[in-house]
Amino acid sequence: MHFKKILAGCAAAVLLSACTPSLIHVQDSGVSAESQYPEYVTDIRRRSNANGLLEVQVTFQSPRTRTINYKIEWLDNQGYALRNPIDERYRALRLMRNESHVMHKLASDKRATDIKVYIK
Amino acid sequence: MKNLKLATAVLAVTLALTGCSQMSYTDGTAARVNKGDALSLGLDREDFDNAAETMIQSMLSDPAFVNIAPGQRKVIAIGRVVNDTPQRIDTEKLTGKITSALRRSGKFVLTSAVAAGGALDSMSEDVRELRGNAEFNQKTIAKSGTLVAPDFSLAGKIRQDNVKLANRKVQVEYFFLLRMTDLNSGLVYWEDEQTIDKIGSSKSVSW
Repeated sequence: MHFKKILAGCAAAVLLSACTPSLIHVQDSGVSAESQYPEYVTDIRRRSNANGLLEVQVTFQSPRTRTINYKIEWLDNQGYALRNPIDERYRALRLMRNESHVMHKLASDKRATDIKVYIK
Repeated sequence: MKNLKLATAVLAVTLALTGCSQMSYTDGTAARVNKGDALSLGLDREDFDNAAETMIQSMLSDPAFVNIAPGQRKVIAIGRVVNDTPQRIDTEKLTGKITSALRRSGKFVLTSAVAAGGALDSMSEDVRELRGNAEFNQKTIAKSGTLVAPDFSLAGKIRQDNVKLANRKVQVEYFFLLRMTDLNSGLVYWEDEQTIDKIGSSKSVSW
């Protein structure tokens, strides 16, 4: 009986952890301390492009083929989220086994200074 | 035993049905690399989002627009976007996302007073017809010579090709092409294309 309770607790914990998205928060100084992201995120870069817009590149490499869902949130210099109709919902990305995938994002809003990438 | 047979039959039917209705994105090559599940063989919101995002990123990374200084935003008019598919498409689903992103970039602004096929908003013309109307304070009516002509036109094409494959499958290829033309010189300052390939049963319709 006790074993069943432990098992149920573990299952609930696994389910909850699966629902909580990982987060990459890229700021001026680089990736923030609050960021927690999966090991298949292998590289994160940021720069301001020639047109003065924030540009971020995230590289993924997974040991197995998997589909991840990600959502982007652009923030202004005061931490306020900037609305962008294209990025406001989760989008699927298929990662092929052992194949590097580069996700390139460019802020269309000149006020964007930070980016948050949610992955689940 | 009877229950087992029933369960097997249900499983077989389910597998057959899901197998038939499976649609996915593909790389468009003979290798047919699966790039994830697709909602349908037609053009859906995800496709417009992906095409618009690719075009926006390409445009806002292009060095052609680097010299547009803050406060000197260029005016864009929507040109003709040809729908060369059997589907009924509101091309503003694509151009609307692009022009709103361009406006937020601080480098461009959209005019609704002139566009291919007529103004996006005819009110700019309509209010000018109130000149001489005694019911309106004439000082509040837009003066002549105040409308701003566009610097650039955004036009393009959406094309669809259906390719029959073996195993009663079909590959639907969508081709988005957009170009930005300088209306003073007629020169194309930017253009890009994006293809989206989907694969599914030939029984699935793409419209």
